[in-house]
This record gives sequence, structure tokens and C-alpha cells, in this order.
Amino acid sequence: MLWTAFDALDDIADGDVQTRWPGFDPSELGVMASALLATTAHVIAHSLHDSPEVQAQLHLWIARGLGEMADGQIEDLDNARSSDVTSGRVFSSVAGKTGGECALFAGLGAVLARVSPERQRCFARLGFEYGMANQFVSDLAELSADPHRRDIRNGTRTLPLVWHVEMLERPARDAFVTLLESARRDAAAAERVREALLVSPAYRRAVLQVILHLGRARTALAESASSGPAAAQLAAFLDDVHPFGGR
Amino acid sequence: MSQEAVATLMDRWTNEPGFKDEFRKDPHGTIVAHGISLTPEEEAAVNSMDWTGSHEELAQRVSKMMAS
Repeated sequence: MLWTAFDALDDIADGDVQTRWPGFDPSELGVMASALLATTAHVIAHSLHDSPEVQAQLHLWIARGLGEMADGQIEDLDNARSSDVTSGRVFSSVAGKTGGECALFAGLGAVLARVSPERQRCFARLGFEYGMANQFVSDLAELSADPHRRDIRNGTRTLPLVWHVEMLERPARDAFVTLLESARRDAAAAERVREALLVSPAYRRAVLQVILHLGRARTALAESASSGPAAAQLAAFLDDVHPFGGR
Repeated sequence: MSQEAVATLMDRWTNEPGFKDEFRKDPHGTIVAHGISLTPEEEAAVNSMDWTGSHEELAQRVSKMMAS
């Protein structure tokens, strides 16, 4: 429910309501998402009939997680309005928005499993690193698979795009930034941006970044000292999402 | 994380004649020979990446990751 609420708010912010939520208008969706965010923590805590200590931890994790996600979302919106976004700002935004989201969900699972706070942090780190990897894969996949070129048309400053800009020297950099602005209104310009990014070394570097985050997720899993079938399943999952098969 | 070292690696991959071929044959040796100091986790990531594939093959792998 938390994921659905935040996903809806993200779609409102990105102007994707018509394509992702046909039949809803943004104001209806905003009310629905706000209600879910305001009530879910209480419903979860109440329905699990858990100890007051676990319930308090759940509330704290959700409050902290939502705060980080909101920070990341605001940075993301700010980046979309700016023509001078650095890769550092992209990392910061993704860390809050997607890393924070997956850290929250993994951390909540660990709280409910009643593991120690230290192991809760390991699982949250696993979730965070997986979330970072997943966001960058999504950004890369959208370049090759999204026929609507939504990221480019919405002005979303993704990691491969920003790295591509940072790798260019002037005047090529200025020309590409101008092309990016045109791409928000012009489908042909959006296609030219996409073609440039698909063959850019920034694309390969972003794949390498995905692998780095998956490696860190593996390290976090090892440090959680988990064993048994569930740990093996998590390790196998990280290998499955690795672009070259993991270990 | 030393983003600069990875940036240097990619810069040489893109701009330095012969670097790509040298790197594809021997990633570790090339990194050492060119004085690029990656962290152990960066080097592990570099070693688990296939540097021989084309842009198209890489994009196909990414699409499969998204589907999995």
C-alpha cells in the first residue's frame, strides 16, 4: 500500500497519470495516495497484533523512510526543472526516492522478523543497494524499450543522461543541452537524444554502477549473517538480476 | 566511492586509442598499467562485467534485467 501510494505521487509529479492511471485525474489520485500514506502504518501496526516495541519500531521506520523518500522526490522534481544537474544530485535524489523506498521495505521485514537492530540495518542496506541498482536499470531500460521516451520528454535527469552530459566538452555539451530542451517538445529531438545515449560510454558506465550496487547488496546480505533457504533465495535473486549472472 | 577513478577508466575507454582493445584482453593488467586506482569493490564490478559486447548486446542485457 505504501508502494502504491508513493508510486501514484511519483506519477502525478512526472505527469504520467493518464498513461499509468487511466480513468483517474491527478487530484483524485493525490487524495487516494495521501490517505494510504496517512493510514497504512497504523493499519499494519494494529493488524499484526505485535508487541508495543515492535509497533513503535514499525512506525519509526515508516516515518523515517517516508521522510527520505519525500526528500528524494523533491530533489528529483528540482532536477527536472534545472538545466545544470550534476551526477551527485542524481545520486542523492535516487538514494532518497528509490534507495530509501527499498531500504524501508527491507527494514520493515527485518523488524517483523525481530532481528537485532544491527541486522535490521544490514537488511535495510541490502534493500537500499538493490533499490539503487533497480532504478538505474529502469532508467537504462527505458532508453531502449519505452516507445514514448517518457524520461526524455519529461526532462527527467537520469544517471546515464547526466553522465553523458558531464563527459562532453564544450561546445558539444551546450549543443546537447539545447537538444535536451528541444526534446521536451519535439519527438525527433527526443529520438536523437535516445540514439546518442544508447551508444554513449555513459550507458556502459551506468551498467557498471548497477553491478557495483548489486555487489554492495551481496556484501550487506553476507554481513546480515543470514543462513538457510531464505538467505539462499535472496542471494539467488541478486544473481538473477545481475546483468552478467553475478557470481 | 572513488567515482573519479571509474570516470577516468571510462574516459580512457572512450578517448584513448588502443585502450579499449588492451582493456578487453586484460582488464586488471590494464588498470594497473595505467595507474587507475579502483577500490576492491569497483575492481570486482569491473571484473564481473562483459566488456567485449556491442552497445546493442548491452542494451539487450539491460532489457532482460528489467524483465527478470
